[in-house]
Amino acid sequence: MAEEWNGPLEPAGPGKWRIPRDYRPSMRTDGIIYATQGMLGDIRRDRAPEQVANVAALPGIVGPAMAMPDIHWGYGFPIGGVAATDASGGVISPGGVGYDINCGVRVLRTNLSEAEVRPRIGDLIRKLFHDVPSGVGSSGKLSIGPEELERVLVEGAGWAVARGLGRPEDLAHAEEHGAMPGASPEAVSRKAVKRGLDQLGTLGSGNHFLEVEVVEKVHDPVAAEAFGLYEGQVVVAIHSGSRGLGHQVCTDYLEVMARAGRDYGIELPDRQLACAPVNSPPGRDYLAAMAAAANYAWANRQCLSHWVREALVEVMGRPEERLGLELVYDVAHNIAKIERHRIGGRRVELCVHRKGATRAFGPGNPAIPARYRAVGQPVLVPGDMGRSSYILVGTALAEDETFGSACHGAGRAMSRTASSRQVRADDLQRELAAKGIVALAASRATLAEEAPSSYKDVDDVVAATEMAGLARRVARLRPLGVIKG
Amino acid sequence: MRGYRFLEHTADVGLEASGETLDEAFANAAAGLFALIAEGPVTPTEEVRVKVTATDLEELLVHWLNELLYLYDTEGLLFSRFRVHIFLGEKTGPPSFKLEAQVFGEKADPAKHTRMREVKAATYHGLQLQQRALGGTGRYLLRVVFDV
Repeated sequence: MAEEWNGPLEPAGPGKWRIPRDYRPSMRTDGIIYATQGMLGDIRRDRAPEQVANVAALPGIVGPAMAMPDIHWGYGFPIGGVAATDASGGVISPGGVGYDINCGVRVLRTNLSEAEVRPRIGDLIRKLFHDVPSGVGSSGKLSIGPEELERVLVEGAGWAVARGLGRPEDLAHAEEHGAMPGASPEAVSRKAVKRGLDQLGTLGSGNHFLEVEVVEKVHDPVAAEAFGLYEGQVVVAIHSGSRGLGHQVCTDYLEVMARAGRDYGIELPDRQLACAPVNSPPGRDYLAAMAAAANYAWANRQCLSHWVREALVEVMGRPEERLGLELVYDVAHNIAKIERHRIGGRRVELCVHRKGATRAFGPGNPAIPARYRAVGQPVLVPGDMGRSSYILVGTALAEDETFGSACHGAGRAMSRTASSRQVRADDLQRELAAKGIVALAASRATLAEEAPSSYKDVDDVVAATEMAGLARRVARLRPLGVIKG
Repeated sequence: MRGYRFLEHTADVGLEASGETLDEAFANAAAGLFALIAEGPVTPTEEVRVKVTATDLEELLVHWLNELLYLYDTEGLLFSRFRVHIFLGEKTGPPSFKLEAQVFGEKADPAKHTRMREVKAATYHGLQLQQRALGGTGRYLLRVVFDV
């Protein structure tokens, strides 16, 4: 990237900065970036604030164009971008969701302590690496045909549970109960279907991972108790998305939207913001295809959690009931949803885009599982290899300010090419081993590129999120072992 | 002279490809894509025919690269040789820019092909297509960013 971004960032509250709408004539509203003062240098060098300003040009945008503290340069929308449009008159933009539709994370808790797991962590990681298909171009263990895939696209995680790959109560503890309404297999192209047939139940590659972690510190005892978490407890996190099917849906609809943009006379400062009115045939088709891809991802994470449970049973030598292994929660990081929010005293239907951002509803929200409703929605924030992850809880303030949204993870600080040059996979494995972290990766390329030094500090991202009041720390997690594709 | 190189980009990977002709530049962009996906020699034994259309050259480049990604993801094929023919069209009306190619490669083999990297798609971000005149000879330069 060339010089740094030198546009205006006005203080707008604790951990909050405004790009005023008069910064660019195309802006219909302000931009808001959540970050600490100390993070602004990197953010300016990354130039992502320009993308926030571009998003502010979307027709029908309601409220400001926002970015969470893990903001970094994406294409069109920045990663960490949140923007809502009026569902009746505004637009929907596939770039506001991303290629990996419903990339997200789920966490399973156990009854095990670090002391019980540590002697077997090597066996456990090897077993998981063996049982969970991962890596580039990996194909899965499930063989399904096109008709079965249609059911996956509509039923999501429920499809897997109905086939014995999970527990009925898993569904109540996932965003959207593991399946969004309005999914339409007809809106998913033949190409996307072809990519989806072989990849169900695979981890994927890149920044996807499966991690065995220990709850190192509880910050909020009341929320931790509600979520079933305690210090010293072992949990398992699964980070994965909609695989090739999702990527193809995004690719397909970016093209559809590029044409629609011309038809609907939409002018945009950035081609990658290609969009159409939510209430138009291409807008409705994209939403229906996106929901289908999102459901595929939920089915995928459900299958992966089933194999995680089986692996733990085998390695720990105990039946599943004695291991706990309940699903704490499952959240999406890349998604667009039709949600009702209160704007100026009225409840308005909005299309909320979250790209590299997590829904973070506060206490009392009916969308949250009953067991958590008094405290708020779990917000799962994976860190990076060798560093902490966090579980946060959503707040009423987030619902007021960011349509109930918070950060999603650490965000990259170093380019992938620079990272592979700087970090060698062998050195990385040694460094992780020195910290007692067992890591297995299907590819040495991703091991080097995904090195912790490539990422912003998740502690900073979470501190900034908490300072802004969008979510509160519940627990900090430390990795014991990780598998990456 | 490889005809391509990688560019610094925070979360994704940028590729710059060049060629004496547009056809050659597009072929080199494809070569760069597969160098990104895997290390190791790719023997050009299997042939696949590719046809894509678009409303302009930039879109044609994105469609070309995404079609190759689709073939990789569904057939497991890596490609190393590309015979490309581009037919220029009109920017208005239905998509009339066409690319027809014969691409040659083989199925990805873990014994031969290592350091695999997942590439989600070629994006429209930072897309650049330039013709630079150098001493009378046109030289084409393409830039594209991949979401990885």
